[in-house]
Amino acid sequence: MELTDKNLRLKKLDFIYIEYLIKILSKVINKVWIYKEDITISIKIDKKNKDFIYIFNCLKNHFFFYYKQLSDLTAIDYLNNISRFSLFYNLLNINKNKRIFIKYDIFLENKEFINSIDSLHNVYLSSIWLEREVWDMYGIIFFGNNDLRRILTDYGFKGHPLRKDFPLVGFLELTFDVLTKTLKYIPVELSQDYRKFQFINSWENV
Amino acid sequence: MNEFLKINQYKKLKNFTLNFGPQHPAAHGVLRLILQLNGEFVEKADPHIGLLHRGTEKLMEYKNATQNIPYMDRLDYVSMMSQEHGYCLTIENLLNINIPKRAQYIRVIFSEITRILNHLLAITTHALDVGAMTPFLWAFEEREKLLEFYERVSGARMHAAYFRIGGVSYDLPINLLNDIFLFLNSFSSRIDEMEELLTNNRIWKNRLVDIGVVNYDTLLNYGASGIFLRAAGIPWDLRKNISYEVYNELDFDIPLGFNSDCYDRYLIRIEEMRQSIYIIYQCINKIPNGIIKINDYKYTSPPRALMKFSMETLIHHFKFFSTNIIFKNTLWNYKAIEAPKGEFGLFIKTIKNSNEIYKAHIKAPGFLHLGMLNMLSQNHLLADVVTIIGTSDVVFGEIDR
Repeated sequence: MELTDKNLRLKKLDFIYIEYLIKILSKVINKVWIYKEDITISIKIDKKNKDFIYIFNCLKNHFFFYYKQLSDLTAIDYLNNISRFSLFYNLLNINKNKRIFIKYDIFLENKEFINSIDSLHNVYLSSIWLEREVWDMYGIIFFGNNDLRRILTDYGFKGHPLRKDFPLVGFLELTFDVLTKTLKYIPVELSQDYRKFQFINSWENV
Repeated sequence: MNEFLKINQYKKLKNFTLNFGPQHPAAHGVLRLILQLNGEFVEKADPHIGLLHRGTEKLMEYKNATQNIPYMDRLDYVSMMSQEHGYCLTIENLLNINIPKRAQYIRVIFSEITRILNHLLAITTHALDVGAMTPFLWAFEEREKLLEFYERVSGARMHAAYFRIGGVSYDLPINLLNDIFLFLNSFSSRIDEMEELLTNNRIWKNRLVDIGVVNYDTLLNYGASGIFLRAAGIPWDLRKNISYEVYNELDFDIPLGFNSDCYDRYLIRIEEMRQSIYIIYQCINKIPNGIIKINDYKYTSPPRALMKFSMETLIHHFKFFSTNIIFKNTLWNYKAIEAPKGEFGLFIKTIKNSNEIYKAHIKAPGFLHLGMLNMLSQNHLLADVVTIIGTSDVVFGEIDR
C-alpha cells in the first residue's frame, strides 16, 4: 500500500478522510492515487467473489462513506498488459459532496478471465445499464446481470468496438445489394489504410 | 349460456406488445421502445437505444485534444456549448492550467444561454407531445435569437466549437453583450407568456401532475442527476457543489420541487431559465477586460498578428496545429459539469509525452435517465409514457454517443 500524490493541494480534513478510508478497506486496497480532488482506489481481491459485492455494500451503506450513487462505470483496455482491462467505478456521495473511483484490474490467462467480475445490480440499480454498455464495448462479462444484451451497437453486431485491437473503421459495413435488392454486410475495403498521426515528443525524455 | 360463461371465465388475456418508435415524433429522435401492455396499462417498457451510435469515444482516441472539441457539439445537439465546457474543463484539469477571468465569464454566459436554449426545447417539445402546439412555435422564435448570439460569437449557428482548451477561441464582438442584455429584458416576459399557456392549464396539469413519481432512494440508486434530483427536493447542483469557473462569485438559487413528478420538473425548468437570466445579468455587469485565452502557446494557438514578427510564435503555431497539446503525465481524470440535462462528465486518460488521448468516456445524463424509464412508466397509461419521455428530456446524440 502506498500513497502517490501529484499536485497535492488537499485540506487537512481530506487526509483524515483518506486515512480512515484506507483503514476500513485495508484488506483489499492495493494502491491509492490522489489527483486534485479525485481519489482513486485500486482494489485487489483473492478469488473470493463475495468480497467484491461486500466492498461496494460497505461503500454504500457504511455511515462514513454513504456512496449512494454509482454514477458511471467504464473500462480501460491495456492491450499488452497482463491485466488487460481495468474497470473504473465512479461513486458519488451526495450528502458530503465526495467522489471516489474504484479501480479494479482484470487479469487474463489463456485469453480467459481468471477473476470473474460480479454484477452490482443488487447494490446499485444503475449498474444494469452501465454493465450492459461495458459488456457491449469491451466484452467484459458481469456474472449475475441477466440483461447483458447489446445496447449501443447494432442488432447482431460482432466484436467489441472499444477494444484496442478493434479497428476504427470496423470489420463489416452495411450496403445495399442492387441485384438482390436487400441490405447486406460486406467486409470493409478502403483504397487507403487509415493513418494515425501519433507524435511522441522525443525532447521531453532528454 | 352457462357453458359460454364458463369458457369466458377461464379465457386468458394475452399481453399486447407495442413497438413505439424509432420514427415516432414523441420518441424525441430515435428511441425504439417495446411496450408490453395490459389493456392500456404499461407492464414493461424496454428501450432499445443505439440507433444514433457514431462511436464518438472510439473516434476521440484517434484525434488530439483540440480536434475533439467539435465532437462534443454533436453529442447533445440542443445544448452544444455545455458539452464543450465539460471537455475543456477536463483537459484543463489534466494539464493543470487556469484560464483568465474574462474567458471564465464568457464561458458562464454561454453556458447559461445554452441552458435556456435547452430548456426552451425541452419544455415546448414536451408540450407538443402532450398536445399544446403554440408554446413550441413561440419558443423556437426565441431559440433562433439565442442561436444568433452563438453565430455572432463563433460563426456557427449550432455546432460552435467556441470553447477551447485554455479559454475561448475569439473575443466577444462589439455590442454583443448589449444585445444579450436587450434580449434578456424582453425574454423574461416571453417566459411569462409561455407560463400563461401552460402552468395553470387544466389539460397540461391533468397530464403532468402525479405522473412519473420517484422517491429519493430510487433516484440515487438509478444514478439520476440534474433536474430529477432537484424535483425530489435534493439540493444537488454542480454549479454550487463543485463550483467551477466563476459560479461561486455569482448569486443564484437552485429551484427545488417536492412532489418529484413531471409537473415539478416542468416548474423547475421554468425557474432555472429565470435563474439563468439572473446569472447572465450579473456576468454582463461583472465581466472584466483582458485576455480571452492563456498566453502559453503550448496549449493555445498564438494570435496571427504576432506570427508576422516573432519566429518563436511561428514555430509554436506550427507545432500547435501539427502535434497539438502534449500531455506531460500518465493521468486519468473525471470532471463533471451541470449540463442542462444533468451531470455531464468526461473521463479521460492520457499518456506521458504523447498527444494521444488514450481513453475517453462520456458520462451522459440522459443514458441513466432512460434507464429509469421502465421503472417510471410501470402501471402508467400508454399516453403517460410520452409524458415521461418528455420530462426526462432525452436527446439521442448524447445517449447513443
